[in-house]
Amino acid sequence: MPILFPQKLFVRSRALLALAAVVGLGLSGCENKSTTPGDSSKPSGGSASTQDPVKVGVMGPYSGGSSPMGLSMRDGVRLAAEEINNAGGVLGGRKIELVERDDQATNERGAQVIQDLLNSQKVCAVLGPINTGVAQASYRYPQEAKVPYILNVTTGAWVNEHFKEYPDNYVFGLRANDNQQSELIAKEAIDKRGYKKVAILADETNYGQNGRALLEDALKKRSITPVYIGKFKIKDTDMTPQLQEARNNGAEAVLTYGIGPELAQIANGMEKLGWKVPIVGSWTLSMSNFIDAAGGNGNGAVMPQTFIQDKPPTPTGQQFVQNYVKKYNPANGRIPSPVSAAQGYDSMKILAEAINEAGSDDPKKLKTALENLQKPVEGAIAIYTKPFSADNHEAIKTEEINIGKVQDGHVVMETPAASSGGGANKPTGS
Amino acid sequence: MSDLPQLILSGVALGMIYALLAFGYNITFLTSRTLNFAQGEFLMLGALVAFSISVVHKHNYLLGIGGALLIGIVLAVILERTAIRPALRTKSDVSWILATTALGIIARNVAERVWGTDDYRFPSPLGNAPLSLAGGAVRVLPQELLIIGAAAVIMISFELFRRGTILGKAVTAVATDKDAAALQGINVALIITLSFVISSVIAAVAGVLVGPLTLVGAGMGILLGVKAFAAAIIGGLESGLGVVAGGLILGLCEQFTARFISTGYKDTPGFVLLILVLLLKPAGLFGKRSIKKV
Amino acid sequence: MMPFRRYIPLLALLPFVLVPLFVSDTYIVHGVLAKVCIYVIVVAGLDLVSGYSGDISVGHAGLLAVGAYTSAILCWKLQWNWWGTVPVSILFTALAGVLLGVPALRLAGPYLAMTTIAFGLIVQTIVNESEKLTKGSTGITEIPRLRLGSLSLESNNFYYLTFVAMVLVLYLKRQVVFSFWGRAFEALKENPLAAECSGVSRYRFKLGAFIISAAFTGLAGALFIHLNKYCGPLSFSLQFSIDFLIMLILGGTRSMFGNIIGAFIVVFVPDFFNNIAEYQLMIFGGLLLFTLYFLPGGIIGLINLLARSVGALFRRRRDAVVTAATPRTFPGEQLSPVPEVAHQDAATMQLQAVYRRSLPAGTGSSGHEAAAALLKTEELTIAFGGLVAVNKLELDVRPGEVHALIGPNGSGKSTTINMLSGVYRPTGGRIRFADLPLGGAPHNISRAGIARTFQNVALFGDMTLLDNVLVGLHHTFSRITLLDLFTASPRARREERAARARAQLLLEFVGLGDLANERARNLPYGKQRLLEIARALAQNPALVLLDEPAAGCTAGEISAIDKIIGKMKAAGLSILLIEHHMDLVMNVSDRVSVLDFGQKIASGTPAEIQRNERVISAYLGAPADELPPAAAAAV
Repeated sequence: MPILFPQKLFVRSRALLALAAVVGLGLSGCENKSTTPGDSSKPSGGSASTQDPVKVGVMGPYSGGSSPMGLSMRDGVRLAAEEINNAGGVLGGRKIELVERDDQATNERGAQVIQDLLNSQKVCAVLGPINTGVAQASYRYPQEAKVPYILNVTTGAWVNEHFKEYPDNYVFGLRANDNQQSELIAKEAIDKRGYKKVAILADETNYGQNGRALLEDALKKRSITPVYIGKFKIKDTDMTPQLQEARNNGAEAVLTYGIGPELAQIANGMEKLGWKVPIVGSWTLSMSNFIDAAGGNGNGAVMPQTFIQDKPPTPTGQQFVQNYVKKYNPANGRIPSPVSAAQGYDSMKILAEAINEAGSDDPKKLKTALENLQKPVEGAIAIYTKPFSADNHEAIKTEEINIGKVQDGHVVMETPAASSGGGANKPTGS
Repeated sequence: MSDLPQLILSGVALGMIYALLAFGYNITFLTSRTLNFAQGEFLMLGALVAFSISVVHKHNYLLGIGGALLIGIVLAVILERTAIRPALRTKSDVSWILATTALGIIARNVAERVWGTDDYRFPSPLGNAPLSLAGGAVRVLPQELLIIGAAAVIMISFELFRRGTILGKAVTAVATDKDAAALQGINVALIITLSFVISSVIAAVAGVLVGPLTLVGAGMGILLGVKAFAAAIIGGLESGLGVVAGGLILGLCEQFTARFISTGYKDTPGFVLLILVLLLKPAGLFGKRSIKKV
Repeated sequence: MMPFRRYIPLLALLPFVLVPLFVSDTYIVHGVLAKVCIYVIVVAGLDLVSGYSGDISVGHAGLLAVGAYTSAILCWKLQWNWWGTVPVSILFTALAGVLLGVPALRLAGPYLAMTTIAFGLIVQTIVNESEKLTKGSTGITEIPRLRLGSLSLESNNFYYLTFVAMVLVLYLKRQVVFSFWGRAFEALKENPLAAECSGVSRYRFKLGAFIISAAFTGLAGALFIHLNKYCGPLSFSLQFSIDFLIMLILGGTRSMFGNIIGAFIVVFVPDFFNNIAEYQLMIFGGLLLFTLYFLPGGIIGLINLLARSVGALFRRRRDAVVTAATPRTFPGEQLSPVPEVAHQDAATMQLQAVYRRSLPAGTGSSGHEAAAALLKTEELTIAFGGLVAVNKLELDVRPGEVHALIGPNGSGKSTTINMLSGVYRPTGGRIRFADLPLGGAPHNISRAGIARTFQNVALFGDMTLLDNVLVGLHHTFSRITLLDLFTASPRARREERAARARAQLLLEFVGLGDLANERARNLPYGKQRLLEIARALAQNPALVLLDEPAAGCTAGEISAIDKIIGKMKAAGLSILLIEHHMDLVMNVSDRVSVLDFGQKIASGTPAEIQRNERVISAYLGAPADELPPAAAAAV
């Protein structure tokens, strides 16, 4: 018996240690603060700044596979909020406070964090997310809470489609949506370049398959049936079977709908098979992880594009790129996903303008203000004049989308916005 | 069909990647009846460390392998101390499976913080120009040949180590009967640690070999880990040869399904095969069934 | 045990149903709590499989997908009312549970983990690829609104539904695990072979655990689609399956509150670390490792430990007086291995009353002289590869006799017992028991009337002595259905009470009556052997196979075993005894058979065997005529 005692004591002390650690962990987590960008650099001076900050929710994946887009978007939003706060905030001196939530790119987390943002944090609007599934699993909460939800990256999720079920639609889009993208891809490949036989390779996610279906529709309008439709999974590393099948069916081009790393494997696989046909695909071909990972094999890939880091369409855009690179110092000086960053930045800018015009951070008034924006907003992508209206919640017009091309590690302009939207143009590249 | 040799070759290359990783499962399972569910993450860390050395800092590829070797040893010790040893005490399968999984989660997160969340290109030291074999019917990357060769070398040298050295015989003894081995004066704990070191080093080095084919990044290990595990189980966790065969079966199965049946169902036949094999032959295709003495 | 007491924890949950009346924040109620309730249902199901039955499942997200999609597709395609889809979801998922569970019959550890991973991935692929049926990766958004009569069950009201479902599932789980089902799960987990030889069908209860678990998960799936009115394949990933396991381990297995705490932490803790979102996974992995390392019982284990410590602190003062009167002695330290004679005799008489087993027709009376054998082997043979371990063995055990099987080490004695108890399948020959051919799985043989003990003690170490014997009494519950357990029917309660009384009686018979609530692993070795005998007797056998019951026992313990064998014989049982203690063998046996190199070399009364030359040479390795007479006599 005496021998048993110290052991028991040991167990007990271990348990206490455990408890202490759990409590400690809990306490450290309790400092659950949100960020007020630019707050520290400019200490409060005026009387107005003693007012409560205006809370804006930002959700996206900050860890895991799609986080290059999530983090770029978040940093873009942060940059805009910081500029706004440094310039005196909104509503005559109130700061923007960003409440950031990681949706981990999963539907369930997304739905949970948006409820947190809406109901516990009482944000006046939500910016995000990246993944189509997350948007589809979360949209009903802002619709029911009547809080504007600006989709600033996800291209597959519904925006105007919501008007049917929710006439008071609170979902807005600031992205080149997949209808536009697939149309432009078809236009580039079929109308402009004159391919007759194309293969589609798309990933198996919601994003890839939704895009694939739209792409098929866009081709059908041009009386073209793809010679081959192949699928691949996220993190697939070998595309030999898909590429063989495409080649055997005589494809003149490969149309893609996927994300960077797997797209790079397609380009690399084509090189390996010694089969070189052009890649035309969605905007993700402009992601740095495609450009880097595909290296020289990625040259010539073309994609619809709202924002090209090397050639920002507006002066604000140039400034934005400079500031972003200075502040976040991305590898090789290249923003991981310039499109996400720029759209994040612009969504915050538009929202701030709407807050000012509404004269309040009341979400319902914000929605009305967004639909009737009086002043143009200078964004990184465009100067937005009346981006939204009561029956159109898509900010980006097809005419504003460029066609970019990968060239030696950079995205260059293939077909500028106006002409790519306008119709056929003479090819400038090979 | 003229595509067939190419398809087989890509299946073999893929299978060898699985086999390399799966080989590590085999070693630790023999000695401790446990294995490392973070094996894929160890591969990833090996690849990323080598990437930093060889690509970012532009040192020699061999130095990169050396770095991977080192990180493999460090990881093995961490793994053995924090996850395996406590779990072996509780004798519950759930506990070591989850402990190593937890370590994998941590490793992935650390990698994300250190190297970012992107995937990077790891140029092959042998160049990226495909070689034409068999009169152009088959094109193969030099790196793929390197992987096939390296997998063979690693496996043969481990077999030689096990049969030819006293330490290797100790490993076999622990694998056969822990208690009897301990009675013979073998330090069983040390042998188990050693097996984890070997296993982790193989995983880390596999990362350096695989990286140029797959891109390197924090997320590269998850799927590879699961697939390699499936390969090991198909072939038989307790058989080194079985693990290679399992890898090849799985790799070929995937490529042929993708090519001739459906790209969407690419992985399914492999998994169905796995379940069938286990139901018919629980020790795997090449595993020996032992009679339990009552 | 008071039947009411076991429901107290469940009743303690009930006040939480009122949460929505006090909290209106839909994030808390709908976003977190309703989700927790649904996850608890899955975790409770997983607990049955992984906590109680000991089979790891990394495929429960696949089961959840089956339940969710069944309900979603019926609602969307066939316009069913959601309430009508629930039973279908449960049924379909239970069927899927069979698929998930079948590998568990043959596999364990990493092998089983991999098949369950594969199951989950296959299900996910199928729902992703069956675009016509499931809308593929897009997922189903056409989930109808939920009402009960005129009451809307949307938003915070949804919590009521999930809460009721959760409490129902937790209640059902309790009913299962606090019954012979729960004992069967645990016995199969701790020692599958001993469990089977005690009459527990591995097939039925392993699969049963998976099916019940899957049925729970099916219910969770039907609820899951209403959480976000969305059902998409990406939700049901491998990671989700792992998350459920994490919830189970973090909270603590085999505990209702553990299930709840685990689910709550996994759902809610990430919201706690929003400002360091990039490091969340690290924290989570660390938390899990920490739990595995420091808190093997999970968080609920820690809470229980603390509660016990605090309780002990208060009790110590009170006990100081009491302990002086009743000194606590460790079981092993008792001087007399056998309780008082009077006590035991009463138990023996009881045993005779309970165990006068009516033998199948054709075996005649239970008298020693009866010619017809109870057990008879004909040319019984088994070969492992090229090695013939038992060769054409002819053995017969008559009703009511103690028949000893002796022989040098490796002569095939234990192998014979393993064949007779169904552990090994003979490669040749026949076994007849009570004039009928004998064969099949160990639990069938136990049911037929043959019970056994093990050479290397095979008890259920973490279970109490009483529960160990109750596993042997498993057969007495054959008429109790799951429905009886779910409804706590009078019949089920009656049977449980009767079995407990009987188990106590059996413990008293072997002299362990006062240790009924001790864990088996705490017993000294000799007493473990006695417990094995009690468990064997519980199976109501006509024949008991005792495999070296006295090995490793002290002289005192051997004499106790000697007496017990005598009493078993007096009660009319037949015994086949393997033993190396010749004193014991010669003392208790009516007849002795001798094996050498798998063959029977002699058979007869103890006295005949002691004189048999072949036996002497087999034991001493030399022809009998070369031995000095003294050596021969010593055998």
